[in-house]
Order: sequence, then structure tokens, then C-alpha cells
Amino acid sequence: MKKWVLVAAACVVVGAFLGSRVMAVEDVSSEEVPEAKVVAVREHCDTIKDELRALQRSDSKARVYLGRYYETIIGKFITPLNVRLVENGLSSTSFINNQNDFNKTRTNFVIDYIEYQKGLEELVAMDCKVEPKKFYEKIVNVRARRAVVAEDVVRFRKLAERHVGLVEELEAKL
Amino acid sequence: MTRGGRNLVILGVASVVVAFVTTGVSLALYHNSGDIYLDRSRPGYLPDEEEIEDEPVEEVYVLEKSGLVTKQILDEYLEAYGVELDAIDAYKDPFTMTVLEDEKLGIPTE
Repeated sequence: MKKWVLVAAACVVVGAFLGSRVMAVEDVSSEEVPEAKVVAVREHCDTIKDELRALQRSDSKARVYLGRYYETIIGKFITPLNVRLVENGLSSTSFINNQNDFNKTRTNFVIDYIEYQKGLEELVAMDCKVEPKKFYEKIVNVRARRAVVAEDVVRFRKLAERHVGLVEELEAKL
Repeated sequence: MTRGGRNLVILGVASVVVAFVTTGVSLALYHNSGDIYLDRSRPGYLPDEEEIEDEPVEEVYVLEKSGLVTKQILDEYLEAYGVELDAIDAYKDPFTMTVLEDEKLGIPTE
């Protein structure tokens, strides 16, 4: 009974975390869409959708490519180094905080990417000839989600640089 | 129909129902968890030929979790780490915003 209560509590916590992350980007559809844009979407519907499908494929490649290096950096560099530093009494809160930030950013990257791809897939599935206004509003929404993913990538790069700085500082002290 | 025959039919139907339910649950989980968006084995998302071509076997840097920490070790570490960073930087403008701009999609900007 106690085990099931713990499992249920863990599910609630995970769900709340995921839910809070998902609700970070709200639908940005309050502004009126200019008629010229609506007409353009209707006229160029097929071309736009081809561009979006190509974007889905290239984003998928980017995600795999970057994800692989993020995993390598965390799993083969940062974590083993931190463990070794602790063993040698050389660790500091900066190293540990950086590792935690890395892990958090990696998790956020995956969640944000999924939300972005979900939006993109819904966008591609829409019929822009029948609902060009809604389609454009969805483009705006997907743009915002993509921006969040782009921020995660930038954050990762900054954390990776910060780690170099920390290691160089440590090296200077040895 | 004999009792055994009837039971066999019930077993068969129940098995099919259970299979449908479990498959449905799996697909729902696969979709709702977002794993579908990370899956590159879907049609249209399969890796390109250049992505799966054989890469030369290189020595992969490994830092053991235990051992001394010396300047030389940290030097080697930073060198290998730099290679990873260079590889990340080699992918130009990932998730750039320009691809979704109105102009790029053929939509007037005003």
C-alpha cells in the first residue's frame, strides 16, 4: 500500500513538472491577422506545407545531432570529472551546480522539442486553403515554441563554456 | 458446442480484446509521451544515407571516475572536450528562427 502511494505521488510530481513546462508557451493568437497574410497563406498553401515538412526533417536531424553531443558531454565528461573531483577533494558547488544546470537544460530541451514538434505536426496536418487564418495563427504559435528550443540550445552552449572556465580555474590552482 | 469448445472461443475473443486494448494503450502512451516526435524510424524521418555511412573508428576519450586529478589529465580532458564543442559549433544555426519567418514562407510581412 505504501509503495503504491509513493508511486502515485511520484506520478503526480512528474505530471506537475511536465504540465508546468508544457504551459510555458501559450497560444499567441490574440492579434488580428492581416487579410494580405490570410490570402498569401491560402495561395501558397502547398509551398508553405512543403517548407514545413522539410523543416520537420531537418529539425529531427538537428535534434539527434545535438542530443548526441549533449549526452556525451554530460555522460563522458562532466559527470565523470565531477565524481573524480569529489574523490580527490577538489569539487566545488560551482561544478555541481553546472552539472545540475546541464541536466535540467537537457531535460527541458527534450520537453520543449517535443512540444515544438507537436505544434509543427498539427500545423502540417491543417488545411491552410480552408482555414488560412487559423493556420497563420498556428505558425505564430509554433514560432514561439521554436524560440524556446533555440534558447535551450544557446543555454547549453553557455553551460558548456562555463564548464571550460571552471576546469581552467581548477587547473591553474593545481 | 461443447463446454470446452465454448471456453476456447471465449479465450480466443478475450485474447484479441486484450491485444487490442494493450496495443491501443501502448500507442496512446507512445503518442502522448512525445516519444513519437523523437522517433526517427517513422516514414519521412529515416536517417539520410550520409548520416549512416560508416565512420572511421576513432579512439573515444574516456575519463575514469576514479583516479588522481593532475594538470596533464585536465589538459587532455579539455582537449577532448574542445573536440566535442567544435562538433556542436559545426552545426550552424540549429533551430534558427529565420526558417519560420513570414518572408521565408512566402507570406507578406505587412
